Amino acid sequence: MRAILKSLFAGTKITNLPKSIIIIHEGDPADKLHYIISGYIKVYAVVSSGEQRIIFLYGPGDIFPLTTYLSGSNIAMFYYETMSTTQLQILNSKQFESKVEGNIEVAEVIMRYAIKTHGLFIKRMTEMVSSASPTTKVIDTLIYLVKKFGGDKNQTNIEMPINTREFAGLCGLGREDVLSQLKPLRALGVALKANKLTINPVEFKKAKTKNLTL
Amino acid sequence: MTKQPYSGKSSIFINPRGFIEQRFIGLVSPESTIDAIKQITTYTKKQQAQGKPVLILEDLTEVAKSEFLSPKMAEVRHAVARATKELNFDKAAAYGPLSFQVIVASLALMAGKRNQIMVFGSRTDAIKWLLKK
Repeated sequence: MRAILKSLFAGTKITNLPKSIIIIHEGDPADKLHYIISGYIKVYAVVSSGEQRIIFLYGPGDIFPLTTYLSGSNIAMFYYETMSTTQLQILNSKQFESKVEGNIEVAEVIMRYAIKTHGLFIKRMTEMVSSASPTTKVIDTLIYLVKKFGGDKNQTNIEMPINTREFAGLCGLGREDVLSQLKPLRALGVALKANKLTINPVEFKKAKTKNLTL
Repeated sequence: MTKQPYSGKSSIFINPRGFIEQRFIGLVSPESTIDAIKQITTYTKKQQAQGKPVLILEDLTEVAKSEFLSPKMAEVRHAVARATKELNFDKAAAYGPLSFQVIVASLALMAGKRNQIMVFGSRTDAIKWLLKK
């Protein structure tokens, strides 16, 4: 699936962006598609207090905002911002349409990817607003990150350029809550320091299997 | 009023406002999808024979579950893709849950009919676009 998605962007210019660049603003038309070669993108809403509430993350191999592009609204509901230096390839709608036209295999891959991403998105939203305990919220978020970015069985560590405030937002918790929840998780291969979250997926999965997820 | 059990079928009729309306209910199975293609093809030809514009409204709000992307539906997907490409119509609007919007929009892209086929979250928006001159 990933190879087909990547091939859609073959031959397009590579764009290098520094950290903290807003690529899409809330309310923008979803008229371009972005393929991430490297780096991470955070998707967030700005809540009434002015704070960012991160809802979703995109990483290498992802395309955004594909579901919005294919939906009826066609208008971005969130902000999309680089979390690190990021390499992207971009297609405008005309270019994208010409790549898909007449190709049922590509259309099917797009459907699957968009529906899967939407499913993850809804799950994330549900987990964030749930009344679950802080421990459950942190564990759910870590499971989401391992599932989304720890695809390779042999991968050693997942490293995300995310700070405590951002991670707390992603969990739907306050900063202090998250810090206290993360302490005991160090033994399970999870560490958040110097604006970097490290997860050892093997250790984390083992711990989860042993029902050590608190 | 007792809700009717899902029948896994589609119904089709000419809406008094002049467009073809097709409604899917229940489980999208290979049989019901092929039936739906036959129905829409017949109605499209009828409208054309009468010299009327062919406007189609697809109601996907009551589809119980989609197995459209499952391996057993591969042939059906190809049939739908072919029909989307070959069917001669002026405009088609589909409305329903986001997952179905994605499926219809992807088929529209594949058929090269992105401007002729639009997806919506609500019936009101779908009809408004469909009847816009």
